[in-house]
Parts: sequence; structure tokens; C-alpha cells
Amino acid sequence: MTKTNYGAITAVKAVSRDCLYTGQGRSITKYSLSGDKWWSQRLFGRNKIHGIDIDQKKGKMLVFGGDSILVTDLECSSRDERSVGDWICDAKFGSDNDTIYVLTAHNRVLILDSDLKIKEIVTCSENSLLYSGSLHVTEDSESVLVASGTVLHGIYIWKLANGKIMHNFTDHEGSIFDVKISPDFAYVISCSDDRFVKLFDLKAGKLVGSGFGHGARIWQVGFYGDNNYVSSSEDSTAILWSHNESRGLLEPAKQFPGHVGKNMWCFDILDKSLITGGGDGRWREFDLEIDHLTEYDYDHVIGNSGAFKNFINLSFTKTAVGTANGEVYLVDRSSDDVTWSLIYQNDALRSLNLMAGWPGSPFVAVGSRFGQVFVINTETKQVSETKVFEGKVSGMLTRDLSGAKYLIATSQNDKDDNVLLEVGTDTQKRYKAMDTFPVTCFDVNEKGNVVMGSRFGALAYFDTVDATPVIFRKAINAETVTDVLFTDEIRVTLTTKNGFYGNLDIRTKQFSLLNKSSQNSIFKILCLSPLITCGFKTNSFVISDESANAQLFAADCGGAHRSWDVLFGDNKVLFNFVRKSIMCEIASNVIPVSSYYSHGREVRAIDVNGSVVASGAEDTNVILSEVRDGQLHNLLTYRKHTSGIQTLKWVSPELLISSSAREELFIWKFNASEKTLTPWLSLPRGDNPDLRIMDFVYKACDGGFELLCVYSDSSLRLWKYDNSSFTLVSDLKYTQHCLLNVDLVEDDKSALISATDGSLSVYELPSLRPKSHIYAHQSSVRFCRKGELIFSGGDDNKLVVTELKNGELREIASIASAHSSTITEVAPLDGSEADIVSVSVDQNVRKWKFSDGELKLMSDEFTTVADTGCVCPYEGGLLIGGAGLDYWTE
Amino acid sequence: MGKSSKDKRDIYYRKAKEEGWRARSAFKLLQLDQQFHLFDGVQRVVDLCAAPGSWSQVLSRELFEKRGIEAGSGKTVAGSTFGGKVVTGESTAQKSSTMEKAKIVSVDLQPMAPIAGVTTIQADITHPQTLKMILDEFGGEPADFVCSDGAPDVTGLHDLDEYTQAQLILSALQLTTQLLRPGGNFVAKIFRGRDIDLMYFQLGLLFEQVTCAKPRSSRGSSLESFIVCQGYKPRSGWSPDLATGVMVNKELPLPISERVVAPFVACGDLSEYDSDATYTLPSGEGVRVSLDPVQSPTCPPYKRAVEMKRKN
Repeated sequence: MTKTNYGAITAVKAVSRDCLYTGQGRSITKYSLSGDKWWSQRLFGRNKIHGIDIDQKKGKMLVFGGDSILVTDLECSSRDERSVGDWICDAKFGSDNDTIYVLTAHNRVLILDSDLKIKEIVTCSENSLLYSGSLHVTEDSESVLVASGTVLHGIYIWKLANGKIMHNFTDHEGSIFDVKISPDFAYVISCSDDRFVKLFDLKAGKLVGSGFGHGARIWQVGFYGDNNYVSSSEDSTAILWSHNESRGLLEPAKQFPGHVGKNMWCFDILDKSLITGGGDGRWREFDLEIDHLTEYDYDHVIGNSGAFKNFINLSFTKTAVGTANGEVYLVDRSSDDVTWSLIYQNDALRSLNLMAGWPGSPFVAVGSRFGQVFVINTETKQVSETKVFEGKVSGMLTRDLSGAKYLIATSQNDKDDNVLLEVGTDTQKRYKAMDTFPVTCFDVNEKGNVVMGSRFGALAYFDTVDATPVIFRKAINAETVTDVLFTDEIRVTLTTKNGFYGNLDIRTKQFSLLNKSSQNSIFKILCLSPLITCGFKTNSFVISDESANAQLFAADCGGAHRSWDVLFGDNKVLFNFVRKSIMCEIASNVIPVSSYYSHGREVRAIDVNGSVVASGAEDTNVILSEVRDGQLHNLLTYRKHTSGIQTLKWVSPELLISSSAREELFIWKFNASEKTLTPWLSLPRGDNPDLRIMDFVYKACDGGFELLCVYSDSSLRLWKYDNSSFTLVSDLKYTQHCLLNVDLVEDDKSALISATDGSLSVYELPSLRPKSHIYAHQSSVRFCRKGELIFSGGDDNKLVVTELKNGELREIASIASAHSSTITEVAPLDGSEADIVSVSVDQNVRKWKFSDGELKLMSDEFTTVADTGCVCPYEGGLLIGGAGLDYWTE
Repeated sequence: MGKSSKDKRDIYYRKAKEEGWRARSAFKLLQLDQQFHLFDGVQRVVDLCAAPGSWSQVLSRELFEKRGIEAGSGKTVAGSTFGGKVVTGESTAQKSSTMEKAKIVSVDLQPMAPIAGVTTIQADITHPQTLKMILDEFGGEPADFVCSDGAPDVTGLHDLDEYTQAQLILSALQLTTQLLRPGGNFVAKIFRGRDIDLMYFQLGLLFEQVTCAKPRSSRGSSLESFIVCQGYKPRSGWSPDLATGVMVNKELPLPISERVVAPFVACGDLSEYDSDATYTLPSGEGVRVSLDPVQSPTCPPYKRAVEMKRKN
């Protein structure tokens, strides 16, 4: 059996660009930084990996986690796991021959030989419980230092040679989550529950810097260069800090928003790269070089009132800048001296100065108050003028289609046509103005079809210039359509100002994908495949890879209400904006993400449709993934729910249903060719935000379907959908207890439900007349049906087999301690080997067979997934969800 | 128990505020008592990791008010982190004719607002001085009942959280073995995670009966449960330690340990509120009036950070 864990990455060690080790669950995986996955080896029986140390000279690797430790080679080909009997805070190879140091949570250091035999145990003179700690190994074993981060008593720096304490730093409040000593012995860096990063002078034994910047707790700290420090946090970001000695401050120099959901657990630094590991099960690389911010003031332009109005990045070295004086400058950064040259000036362009351009070419266009469009070649300074309106040009948008440069000009007068020009030709197509349709974006395809977006969600498609357009009002919603691109002749991808994107078929008017970005707003599509968008999140400009669910770039520019332009490509970004009349530009490298991500929070439901896996989690997201070559690959993250997912199920190959609190139950249509989801229906709901839909069962019927739902307020409701609306057929309040599961029994003529009071009950459909009721458990019950039998697991660790005969429930077998903790799901298995599989928060996955009136344990396996919450059998293997995701293949 | 926490959907959260409990965990102790009669005949009680004090409130009510004894004013005792010092509250209570007045001592590192009839010691439970201070309060007599509702700061790394919780219980147990009378009871909060069977095994060595109990006021969706250890049987020379202690031959052992499953009991009556259920508030109360906490967190380490975040 192959067991792949997609849970939190809790250790990273970067050796070279070709060799990155990550600790994920019980396994070490070797990657290259370019994203190749070399191999993965499971090293521990139960414990998760929390740290890795490498001795490159000897080709040895030291791995630890929990109370486990082992030494292996750099390919992890051997695995002799040992226990030190206590939680390990840190373990390091000594610099001399064959010594290994292990710091445990009782402030003790074990000195081991290379066979992991104990040479000596040193106990610190203060016996405190540690949350963290690190060993500072030196050439000279006499001067090894220990930094201990305690639960209650701050930080101890002590000498291994005698167990004596050098310093006790108590400047933090609360538990210390990490503490490190600098390679040169000069400084100590630490973080704690108080959300501060603190720097201490080790020789003087005093606090010299304190930094605040994370939105949640900080898990790891480290040194970078002489005066820089890095921290990673529960807020799923890392911060690069610089030390302002005079003010005694650590100041954020750069922030890395890298992971989905909660927690960036760990990081390592290789040259100028930061490699981070997250709760989302993904590692990422970031550039530690500080993004260079260049500022330009009016010294660069002739007129002193010439506010910077517009800029177009034509390439990463050349930007055209338009001023309120009616001037167009070309900023050239190709040599060390940045040059500003005046390309064009025209009084007709004063104060307005609309500009657009075609990146990759030297051409920009400016629009005037008198209805002219000037197309300027910034290299040759040649200008061609076209008069398109009588009045003012109020908008200009551009597109490059295989080298052909299109421009659409719109007028201040909303009765005027929208004029499409092709640069270098005399082509001028005039599209009739439409009611309340100021054009905000457009695209043109090879066939000459044109699509335009507007405010209030309007979209117009023109087959030809003279044809009556197909107009959509509120195509996605009532917000402005910010960008639109043809994906083929009849399909477009569009985005909205409030952060939605979708794929729309112009002919059928159907969406095949409709989703919300993690950004608050989308302004532009930067790439279609993978889908990369840019927009704003409060005060920051953000670039996101929507498919990979990853933020690629962020810059604090003050928000969307300013002039800005962005150029993105070849893993580079050039972003410029105006702040306080100053033109700012940031150039940065973007490192794409390659590895699989899971939910950043606890997975609560998994179901499979063919090779497409849907998972739902506490993070409120539904993620679609695909099984290929025995591995999971991400498709897309869907953000429609506003509270943690309770249940999701594929009810047919075309339909997915998911439910959560706020009475949210969404029915999604699945597009098999695109492997995408579109929300189709949502169940009517009330106004109680706490009311959860715990489970549901779907049944197709004449002219629609029926949906039987159980709620956390003890309601059982039967809904019917008749292809236009939902009606409540019948409902019932069970007691006051939260209902947990529901299924159809007795040839779909009855419903079986379970509740937190330990009961199973049968109700007749559709009347909901009670038929039978038993207490199978002491409290919460999860059940599944297999044939005539009902298998249930409880909060009471018990597994029960119940028979439903002639409308009566009867317990026929049980095992009191089937698990040592809450059984969170039981699922039926195909084949004859076992009937069901049970999962529990004791992290055991057990298969059971019911025969000869008894439940027999057929197999017992341990899962890396803590807070184990759900299981989904799949092609002889299993998908297990909780704090992370396990995929087991037979 | 902040206003914005997920716990607010819990009916007990609201009930606790309405009834004046400092935390909804008060109901957990009450329901544990319903099942196990923990307070019957109890005179000397220690509440470990007591802040914000809801269990001490329950103890005060059950051991004074319910017995018809006036509790008298409580006293808060300031102490240092390392051991603390005791200033016992002078009780103005009248002794009941039938029963000796009970003594309740609460220990926590965090400061705690006073509770009627309860002596609060601000100290570290692992410090040797703490034991002496508690025994002094009891006039040298052993305790009948020790309880702990303590939990560490949960990080989200389940293995670390379970380890830290186990250490907290073992610290409490270490103190308990030196405080509790033979036959006495011990109750502590546990996380029912992957290594809980190791804990059951350890506790089984010291008590006649070990039960894992889940009050109905504790949400089914949380890993929290309570270990109810009844009938203390002291073992000389036993010291609680999760460390397997097999280092005599200098060989690190393989990770194998003895595991046992404790019987499970759900406690609290089925007619009581269900912490997993959603309730509709009586319509007369108007639209979800937000109630202020009975006792705000005294001094969390992240207090300053929260203030700074709010400002910026």
C-alpha cells in the first residue's frame, strides 16, 4: 500500500537548488527547487517529522519528530526509528566525529554517538518545560550552547558543558515558540505567543530589538545575513525584518504571503531564496531580495504642474509616461542611468491625457479632448492621428492579437459609436452605442468577433460590426466587468470588479466555470492558462494564480484609487503607481508554485467522481483535484460557502452538492470536459447564521429531485425541486439534539437519521411519521448503510451493527472499544474482504467484516492525519481527511 | 470565549453569561458531578489551572451555597511565578451545625478575580513551594478531590498540543499524588487524540477506576474530554512520566508503548441542552443581544499585539 500524505509541511531543509527535503507527515520528500519531485520515503511509524539536519560531508541525514529520531543517508534508504522518550525540540549533528545532540522538552540534552547510543545526558539547572529550543553546535564541543524556549519562564541560554544558565530573557510574554542563536554567537532571535519577534545581544545579555508585524502567532525565526531576520507565522506569511539599532526596532522589510488557510510552519534559507512550508501541504520559494522601489518626482519632467497621469509598461525596461501637461515621455532603464525623454507634446492632450499601449511593441496611443487618437511610436517618435469623435475621447482600450494592434475608443457622449481601430491600417469599425453601456473592457478574435464588457455586469457580443449584439445584463453579477478574453470562438473568460471570474458560452449563455477569487477585486487577466489575475486586496495590489490558489506578488500601494500599470511575464513583475504625486515603480521576481496544495484547515468531507476528487473543509472552500499517476493534482478552489463545509457529495456524475452553516446548501453543475464547477441552485434558507445543514440525501424523481436534509437544530426537512423552485414537502423537529447523518432505507420509502443523543431513528416518507427508534450509542452517531445492515460509530468509541427489518431497528452486534477515541466516520467498502472502514481521532483506520453475528477486525492501519474526520473509499484505496489529507492506494 | 469566536454558536456559551459563570466549562463540571457524584462528602478541594475560575465558582456554589453554608468573601493571593506566597482570606462564614466548612483552593499562574469562599494562589503548579502552600491551607490534611480544566495554548500541531496537554496533566498528577487522600478523586481535561491510550494506561496504575467522560456541554466536534479517576491508590516510588525511561543500557528504545482504552461515559441528561445543536432564541429577547463576558481574560500574552493591530 502506498500512503501519500498531503498534510502540513512541518520541516524544510534546502541543500542546493537540486535538493530540497521536506518533512510532511511521517515522510521525507526530495524535490528540486524547480519543482521536480525525486522521491518520497516514509520514515516514522506514528510521529510526524519536525526537523531535519544534514551532514553533507558524511552524506548523513538526521530526522526527528515527536519523541522519534533516526539517522539515515541522503536518500533515506534506511529507517531505524528510535525513541528518546520525550518530545524533541531540536537535534543536530556535532561538528566532531559522530556526535549527535538532542534537546528535549524537559530542558535536557542527550549526547548520542552515531549509533544513537547515549554517551551522556546533560540537564539544565532550571528544569522547565520547553515549547521550543535550538542547539548551537560549534567546532569546539566545550562551547556548545543551548537556547531553550519555555512554556512559562521565557528563554534560557545555557552552556552544554556544565548545564549552567548564561541568560534568562523574560522580555516576551507567554510561551516561546522559537529561539535561535546567530552563527557568530552575537545575537539571539526569538518569537512567542505575544506575536513579537525579539532580538537579544548575547554578550551583553539584553534586548536590542523588538518587532511587530504578524497578524497571528509566530512559529519560527531565523537569521539572514548580518542584519536581517526572517519569521514565519500562523497568519500564513513570512516577514523579512531589518534591525533599526537606534530605535531598538525590528522593522518589516518584506512580507511573503505564501500559503493557503492558516499556518506557515517552517522555512529554510538557501542563498537569497526563502523556502517555506505551510499548513496547506505546499512548499514555496520566495526571493529574499528586497523589491526595489524607485520613485520619480517632477524633476524628471519639464512642466512643474505636470502630474503623472498615465503610464504604460512597454517592456521591463521601457515605460511611457503621460502627464497633465499633454506630454508623453519614455522612461528607459536599459542602462544604469535611467533616462527620461520627451517623445511628444500636444496642448490638445492637456489635463486629460488618456493613454493605452501595446506591451512588447514601441506603440502607445493617447486620446484628446477634441476626439483625436494619436498613435505614437516611442522609438521613432512618429505620430499618426485619427479623428474619431466630435467630442472628447473618454476611454481607450487596447488588445494585441498575434501582432495586430487593436484599439477601441469610446466617447464622452454616450450616443456616439464605440470605434475600433487597427494600428497601421485604415480599418475603422464603428460599433453602435448601447443603452447604459460604457465600455470597460473588450476583446477581438481571429474571426473579427468582438466582445465588450461594461458596468453593472453587462457584456455585449458582436458577431460582425453591423450585427445586432447579444447583450448580457448582470453576466456574473451587477458589478463592473473588468476584463474579458476569448478562449475560443464562442467562449469568453470574464472577470468582475468584486473578484469573480467565469467561463461563458456566448451561444448557450451558460457558464461552465464561475468562481470567486481570493482577491477582493480583479482588474485584469494577466494569463489565461494557468489563470493569473491581478487586483486589489485592501491597500495592496495583488497578482494571483487562480488555478494554483497562490498569491504571486503583493505591493502595498495604498489601494485601487490611483493610476497604475502592471507588466507580467517570464516570472517578472513591473508594477507602477502614483502615490502622493510621486510615480513609484516596483520590479520583482515571481517564483511560480509547483507542488500540490490541500486545504489550510481541517478537511471535513471528501467524495470522488471518476478521477475527480471534491473536498470540503473548515476553511469554507471546496477544492477539486484530480487523481493522475497515483497522485493528487489540483484543479481549482471554489469559494462560495461562507462557513466551514459540513458535507459534500457527488449525487450524479454531473452534480455536486455541498452544505455548511448559515443553512448553505449549494448544488453545483460539473463540466466534465473542463473539469470545472458552476453553482446552479441553492436551498432556501432562514436568517440563523449558526444553523448548519449536517447531511443530506438526494433522489431524482419525475420533473426534478427530492432532497432530504438534517439540520443542527434537530430539523429533518424534505425538499422538492420541480425545475423551477424548491418547496418544503414536510418537516419535523426530532428533539432538541443536533442531527448528524441521513440516508434512505426500505427502498427509499423511509429515512434513517442519527443524532448527538446516540440514537438511530426511522421515519416514513414523505409523511415523516416515526417508525422506529433506538439508542445505539451514548452520544454522537455516524452511520453508513450496507445492504440491509446499518453500521454506526459513536463518540463513545463503539461500533454497532443494526438491522432494519419490518420497519424495526434492532442492534445485532457491537464492539465497545472499537477505537480509543471518537469514531468520526464509517464508510461502506466494495468487495468481500471487509464490509466497512472506520476512522477515528485516534488516527487508526480499521476495516471490519460482519459475519457469523460478529464484527471482525480485518485490518488496522495508522494515518498521519490528525483530527481525522472523514474517509472516502476509492478504487480499492482510501482518501482520509482531517488536519491534512491522506491518499492510500492498494 | 471572545464574542467573535466560533464557540458563540454554542448554547452553553450564552447560558453561562446569563447565569453568571465565567466560562461555559462550569456546565461541564456540573454534568460530570451528575454522573460521578464528585462533590459528595467532599471537604477539601484543589482546582488546578483554575483561571478564569468557572470551576471554582461551581465548587463554591456546590460546597457552600448548596449545603446552606455562607461562603464568605474570597481572597486573591498574589505570588511570584516561582512558587508564590499565600495570604489566606479570613472567612466570615458561620459553621453549619451539621457539616464542617469546606475548603477550596484554586491555583493558577494567571491572576484571577476573587470568588466567594475560595482561596486563590497565583503560582506555578510544578513548583515545590506550591504543594506546601496548598497543604498549609488544609491544615496539613490531604485533599478529597483535585480537578484541572487546564489546557495549553493550542498551536494546531496536534502532536505537540497533545504532548503539552499530557505534560500538563502529568504535572497536575504529580502534585495530586502528594495531595490526594487514598480513595480520593481526580478529574482533568484531556484531548482524545492518537496517544490517549498511553495516558489511560498511566492513570490506571494509580486509580481504581479510570473513565473517559464527555459532558453534553462539551461539543462532540471537539477533541476535549475529561478523565475521571476514582479511588486513588498510592504507589510508593511511582513518579508520573511519559518518558519511557528505558535508557539504562544506553540504547534508545524502539517507539513501542503500552496502550489501553478507558471506558467511555457521556454525562449530563439527554433533556439538557445539546452543545452541538443550534437553538433559536426566544423571540421576546429581541435580536441576538450581545452579552458581555462575565469575566474578561485577565491578561493574555497577546494583549499588546491585539491593541497594536487595532490601532494600525
